[in-house]
Order: sequence, then structure tokens, then C-alpha cells
Amino acid sequence: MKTIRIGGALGYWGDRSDALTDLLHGGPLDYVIMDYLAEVTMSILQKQYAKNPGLGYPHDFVPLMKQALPILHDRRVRLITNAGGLNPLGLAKVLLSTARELGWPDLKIGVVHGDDLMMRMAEFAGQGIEFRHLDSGASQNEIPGKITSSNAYFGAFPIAEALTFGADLVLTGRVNDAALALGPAIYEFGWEASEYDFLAKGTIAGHLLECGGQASGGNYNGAWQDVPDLDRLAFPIGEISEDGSLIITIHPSQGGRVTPAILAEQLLYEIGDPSAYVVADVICDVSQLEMEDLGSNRVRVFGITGHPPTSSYKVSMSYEGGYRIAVGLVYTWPDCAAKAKASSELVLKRLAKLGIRYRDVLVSIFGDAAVHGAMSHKIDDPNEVYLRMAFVVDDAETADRISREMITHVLCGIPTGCLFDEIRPSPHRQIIYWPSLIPKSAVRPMVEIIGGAE
Amino acid sequence: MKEIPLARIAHGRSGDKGDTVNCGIIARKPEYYEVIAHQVTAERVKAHFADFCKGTVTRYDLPKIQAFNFVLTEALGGGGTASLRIDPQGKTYAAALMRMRVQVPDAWDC
Repeated sequence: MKTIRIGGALGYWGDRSDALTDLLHGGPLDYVIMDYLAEVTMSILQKQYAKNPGLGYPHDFVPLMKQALPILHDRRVRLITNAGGLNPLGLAKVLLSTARELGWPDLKIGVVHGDDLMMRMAEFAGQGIEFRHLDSGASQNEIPGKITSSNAYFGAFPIAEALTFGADLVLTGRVNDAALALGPAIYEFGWEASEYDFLAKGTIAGHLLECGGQASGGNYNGAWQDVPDLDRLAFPIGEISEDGSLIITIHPSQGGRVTPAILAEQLLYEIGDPSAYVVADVICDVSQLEMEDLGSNRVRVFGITGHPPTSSYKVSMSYEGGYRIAVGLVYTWPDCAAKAKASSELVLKRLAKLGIRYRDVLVSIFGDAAVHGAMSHKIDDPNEVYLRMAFVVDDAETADRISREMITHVLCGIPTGCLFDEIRPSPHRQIIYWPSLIPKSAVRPMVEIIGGAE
Repeated sequence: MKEIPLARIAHGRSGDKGDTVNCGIIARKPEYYEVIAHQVTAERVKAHFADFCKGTVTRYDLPKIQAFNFVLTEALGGGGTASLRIDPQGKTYAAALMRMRVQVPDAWDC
């Protein structure tokens, strides 16, 4: 029976960049997937794209490919990634020239696009598509700021199509994260759009791989002391067979572990109802999922079923809010928590005197239940605390005035306040997420092949 | 019976979807599953996160892997970069849930 091995080499833009080469060098693989796009990543890319039309994708992907393309070529491993971001065609062109320089002149890239809805928002409005908020039901017209990105999540079939055309590398814009792994399974095994159980199994394989090291012992909350060598953490590998059976494992002689408990944490990561995990191609049911520990970092995952998909693609939109700034001071023993509290009240009084207005403020005292509030246990008279005051304001100038006021409290305020690290932090524009849906009939994935032999 | 924090019989991971956070909770041993099922109810979890979760709490059970998924809506102060919170993506919510007190038999070595 045919089996493919897919490695999950990235959990998000900013994750370990050496994981890819470790995966490629560590043992046999057929495919590698890399998930770059978190919920608001598209709006970050949108901002960069607006300033530089040559960007719109994670800029560090190109230097990473300079390292990886020769290995992918020699080992005949195909890479599938959503690193295309807002500009998969632009990235593909850059990579073709990179490949030529590296001596891979006939690199063939499959580009999946059509997910970017920004240019078509007026057209959709004309069709009566309202982009209602998935949770609150509010209409798009109620969005209180400028929309900065709008992308549909496509499924795995366009990826499979690109592979059918012989793509060595598949670059997508927004797709379901798990589609990166389901795509090659569809291509290799000829799974049909109506074979829901198969599609669900491939999707869950992708879900287990899409967060990289979280499936092999990273951020593991169980017996974390027993996970060896996180400094050289092996990223996870899914062995998917044509009958839909699935084993999750890692290369030998690298760090990390694969156990049912570790995989259970990743299985439940960022999901809702386990009997209805919805992606573009299928609705997956993992409520009856089981795992069997085969030993030697191999776990068999089974009991996954699938149901027909919905008639919509999920859409992630984002819009601009105000400006955020977080400022703070350290206070030391004695009475540091009381001093920090008094200081926060004093700062707010000063802002009132100076006529500095803010939309929202959150006062937190690190070292005194800042993260979990009333759920925390009491600590009497800690050695030091950090007062953090986070604000939302209308503009960057107001944020700057707040950070200037904060540093005056070292000499003019409550005693033993001390500054550290970034004394004048920079404000950041809030990017607010707006999840929605679009009828599948309104938008179509496009597959383009570029490069290849002349 | 003795009272212990949930952390002694379970572990878990949490994450976000917009302003929603979910906590995947796994029994450390199969025999702990029923205790968690009886005592760590959606109502108790809602009360535990009273200051954090302004929406609803739903519990989903996965008996074959002795796990539960708790979904908390309106729980991240807006979520993502909109939130002023220290943990706007809910990465530590499962750890906060681990503080919940549960009653277990005295004989349990946990």
C-alpha cells in the first residue's frame, strides 16, 4: 500500500528557521509543508505590500529557500506552503530567479491564488454578500475602521491540481492550514471530493502537522520535563497511506517526543466542536478519534470520519483600530504592589491634567496576579513587580505623549520606580480580526504553473 | 477524599480563534476521566473564568482519548492585536484552568 511522508516544518511566521533543513537532512520525506499565516498575518503583509509592491509575502522566505532549494532538489522533496501571502505570483517569480542562480533552472512552481478579495469588495457588496461576523452576526457595514485585508480560505484541491501539473513547489495565498497536507494526499491517492472520510483523515493529518514542534514535544504541558533536547526539536512527520491510515512520528536522533498525550494537546489546539471541525473540503469528526502508541515515537491515529462540506468558504478580514502602547516601571520591595498601584493612579491623574485622552486602558502588575487575575494565589509582599499600563489611543502622537509622561515618574512619582529595556516603546496600530463567510459560488481558486523546462 | 488542583490529574493546551479561546484538557490517566467529567463542568469553568470570559462556555467530550475541549467565547478582551491583555491569544488559559480544585479519592497517588 502506498504511503507518503509529510513533514511539518513551520508553525507560524517567526517560527524556527532551522527546522526545515533539520527535517530534510534527518531522513526520508516526500513533502514538506510550512504554515506562515496566522489570523492577522495578512494585514501585516498588506501593510508591507502597500509600501513595496515587490513584497506581500514573508520576506525571510527567500533567504530560507536559498538554503533549502538545493536540498529539496537533491532529495526530490516537494514543498507546499502558504508563504505566498498576498502576492504568491510575485514570490514565485523571485524564487525562479533564486533557483536559476542555484543551478535549478527548470524549477516548476504551482501558484494557488484568487483568495484575496480586497479588490472585489464593492462587487461582492453589489451581489448582496454582507460578510457578517461569524460570531456576532454583525454586518460588514458595522465595521468601525478601514478594512485592511480580506481573504477566503481555499481547500486542498487546487494544491492537488498544482501537483498534478508537476509542481516542485506549491505557493498559495490563504488556504485552510491543514489543506497543505491534504493536497498531496489527494494528488497521490486520487481521493475524490465526495470521499469525506479520506478527506477528513488527510485534514487531521494536516492539523496535527500545521503547528510544527507543538506536535513533537514543544509547548507540551504534560510531563514537559520528559521531553528531551528541545534545542534540536524534531518537527513532526505524518505518514499517510492511501487507505487513510495515519501515523505521526519524528526522525530518529533528533530532540522531542511523539506520544498520544502530546498529540492530544495538538489535536485539540484551536478547535471548537470536535464533531464538526469545518474546512473548505469536508467537515471532520474527531469526537471518536483514538490513538495507539506504537513505541519509538510513533503514534497511530484513527477513528476519524468526515461529512459533506458547507457551501461557504471561511473569510478572514481585518480592519484598523486605534494605536496601542504599553508602558511600565519596575517597583521593588517593600510594599511594591501597593506602590505600583498608587503609581498607576498617579499616571492616570497626570494624563487628565495634561489633557491626554485615551479610548481604553488596562493596568496590570506583573508579579501580583497580572496574567490570571483572581484565579491566582496570593503572594505577600513580593520582591519586585512590574507595573504595565496598556492604552488604546487615537493616534501615534498621543501614544508618544503617554510614554513621555511615564518616564517622568522615575523622579516625580512613587519611590523605587526603575526603567529597564525599552524606555520609550513604540506604538502599534491595532489590527482587528473579522471572521466571515462567502458563498463558494462567488469566488474561485486559480492555479497557475510557472517555470519548468523551456 | 482529598482536594487537589486539576493540574495533578490533567494537562492541557489553549489557543485562540478571534475573541474565542479553547482549552483542550487531557486526563493524565484513564481513570481520572470520570472525575474530571463530573467535577469540571462548563458551569464551573465559566465561574472560574468569570473575570475573563464574557460569553459562554461549552464543553465537548472525547472519551476515547480521555479528553475535553472547553470553548470560551468573548474571552480575550477582543483578541489578537485588538486586546490590551497580557495574554491576548489565550496561550495560558489551560494553565489557569489547571488551578481549579477537584476532589479525588485519598488513595490516588497524584
